[in-house]
Amino acid sequence: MDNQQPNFEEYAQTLAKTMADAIAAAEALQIEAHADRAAATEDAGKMRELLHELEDTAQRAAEGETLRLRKQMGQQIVATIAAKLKNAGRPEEEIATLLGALDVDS
Amino acid sequence: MEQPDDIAAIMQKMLADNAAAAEALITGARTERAAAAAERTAARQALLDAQKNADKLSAGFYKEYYSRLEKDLGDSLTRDFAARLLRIGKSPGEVAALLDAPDPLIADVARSVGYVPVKLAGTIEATTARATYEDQGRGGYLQLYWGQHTCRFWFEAAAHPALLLVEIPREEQWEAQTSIPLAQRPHALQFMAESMVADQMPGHRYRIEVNSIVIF
Repeated sequence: MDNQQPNFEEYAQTLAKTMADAIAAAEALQIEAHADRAAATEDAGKMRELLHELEDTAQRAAEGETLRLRKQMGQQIVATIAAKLKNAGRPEEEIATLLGALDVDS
Repeated sequence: MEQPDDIAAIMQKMLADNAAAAEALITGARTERAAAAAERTAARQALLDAQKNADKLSAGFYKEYYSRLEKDLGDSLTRDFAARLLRIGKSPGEVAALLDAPDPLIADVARSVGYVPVKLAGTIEATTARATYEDQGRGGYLQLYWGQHTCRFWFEAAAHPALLLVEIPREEQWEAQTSIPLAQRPHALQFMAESMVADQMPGHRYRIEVNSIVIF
């Protein structure tokens, strides 16, 4: 029987090459993954910026209504109070005094 | 000593293990790559959706801020009107009813315009009170705002050694003249006397008699 010695050199090369190829392939995949994550981060940043801009514009628009809304709500409250006092049979003079004190423009 | 066949078998096994480890390394990297690609796709889709729905998102933000503004203005107007009503002599109870506002809020505003909380001894009840003064020369009126009630008491300069005299209804006339429950009379009188001393005669003392408060 031929008792041939194993080829250690070839064995070592095969081991090294297999692992080197695998590492190279994994590194290439990691580079691609990194590029994807960078793109995802950029898109997420763009979206945050867009949402912030939309929110900021909406906030300014709503705040632009403050004076008009305050007057409108104030008038509603005064009208409700006037109706309550009238229903309670309070004298006109007293109602006028109270409403005078609640002038929304003052 | 190992035989060449045994060595070859061991080497074969190590080659197979090495190949499996290399494959596992690549598989792990592929999984990571796939996850990153999914993140990229999701982020892009979210951005596209936001761009596409910008009007809708704007409307939602506007609605949210408008609601917040309405609430803030409602609170601010309620406080503003409550303070004005309290200053012209409406009681905290009346103000709460007129404005449909919660009692704690009105009590808070009342404190800011000079009302103080008063604990009624022996009960867990409490009220708010305020004293104002209407000067009329040698005398005037002490106006007491006591919970829901408002009453006026005449006061005037008194003969030495007293300094001021506040006229108060006797016990039997108290409720009829003030509408304040008789049980609260001692607390109301004490509050009036302490306020009078603090506001008009600092450093002096008082005593409560059957039909007057004497400041001396």
